[in-house]
Amino acid sequence: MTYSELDDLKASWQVLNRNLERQNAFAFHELKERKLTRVRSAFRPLVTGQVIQIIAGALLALIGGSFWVDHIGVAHLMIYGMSLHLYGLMFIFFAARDLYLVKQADYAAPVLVLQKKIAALRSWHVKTGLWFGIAGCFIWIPGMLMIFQALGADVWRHNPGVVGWLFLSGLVSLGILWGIIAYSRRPGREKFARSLNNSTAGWSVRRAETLLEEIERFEND
Amino acid sequence: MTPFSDQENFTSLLEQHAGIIRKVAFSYTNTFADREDLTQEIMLQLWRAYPRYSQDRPFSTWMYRIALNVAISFLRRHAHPGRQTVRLEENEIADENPGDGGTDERVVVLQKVIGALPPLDRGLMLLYLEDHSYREIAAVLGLSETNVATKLQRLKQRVREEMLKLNKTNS
Repeated sequence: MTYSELDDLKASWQVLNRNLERQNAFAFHELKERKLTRVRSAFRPLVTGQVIQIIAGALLALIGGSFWVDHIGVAHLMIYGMSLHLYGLMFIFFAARDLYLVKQADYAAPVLVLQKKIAALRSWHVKTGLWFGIAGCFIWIPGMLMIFQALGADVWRHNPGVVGWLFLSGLVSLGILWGIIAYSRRPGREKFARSLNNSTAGWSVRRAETLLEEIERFEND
Repeated sequence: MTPFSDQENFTSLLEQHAGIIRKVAFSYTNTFADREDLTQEIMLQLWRAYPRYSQDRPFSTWMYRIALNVAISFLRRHAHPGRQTVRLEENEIADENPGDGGTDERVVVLQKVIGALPPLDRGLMLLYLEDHSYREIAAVLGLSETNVATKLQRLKQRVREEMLKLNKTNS
């Protein structure tokens, strides 16, 4: 027996439908037994992570902000404080945008509308993850220097070579990050790339972009 | 509306339209475990979105949108190279009483054809097989009716090619 038309499959679809119905594989009774109101709250962890990030960002911005305000006129100390301040604001901004986009995701929207939003969110998330990684390679330097300053040691003034070494360490960290990303982009390393939390790897950036392209192709084809 | 009646209404509507979840879950998964997971995810997302459901809109259109959106995201999350999958047993979905001796084969062909389509095309095919009008398909997918007609033409062509390939393999 041969089949050549999509319409031929409609009959098969009806058969399949009947059989799936007979199996009654869905755990409706199980769902009924569980408190549905509790199920709704299962989505809260999605939001909790972003809220924690906002709080952490506010703390960093507060510490950095108060530090540079306390040292107005001393350029290098102001730079330490401002770096941390900016990093904290970056934390807040990115988490708030994520939170907004996640909240905006309406699963009852037409398929193409939501899929485009999800793909855009994913692309944004992956790219910002990369920026956090790059900034993270260096942000610990002003943080550490601020701690020394609080303990009474102005490292920049008394031992500028140490700052140079710290900066060099930052560059090494950046090199390691770049190496990890380059490794994850090699063929056959997809599993490793995913284990980087699908966030910082270049492979993920490409994948997110592929999704957007696929949706656009479907829409315009 | 009290939370209790809200929950009762929801579960009653869910049971009335259970076929939608069942068919979407079937179309977007390859394994029993994935099918169950996807079913749960769809139901949770439906329950989550239910407070915003407006009765002015047909429940089935609303449900299709959510089920397909969840399924497409699920497929993208789970479909990656190297993933170990176990195909659904053929006799699990085949007709128990195939009248003409060819029905089992048809269901298997159907499964293969659906499995070969990209995520968005699967949704289009599912709605077509369910005999939805172009207007309904357009409303679920967010396309124009003209676009739906064009896409269905292309899908038919693609399915024709896939089936010819399968026929060749079988003969």
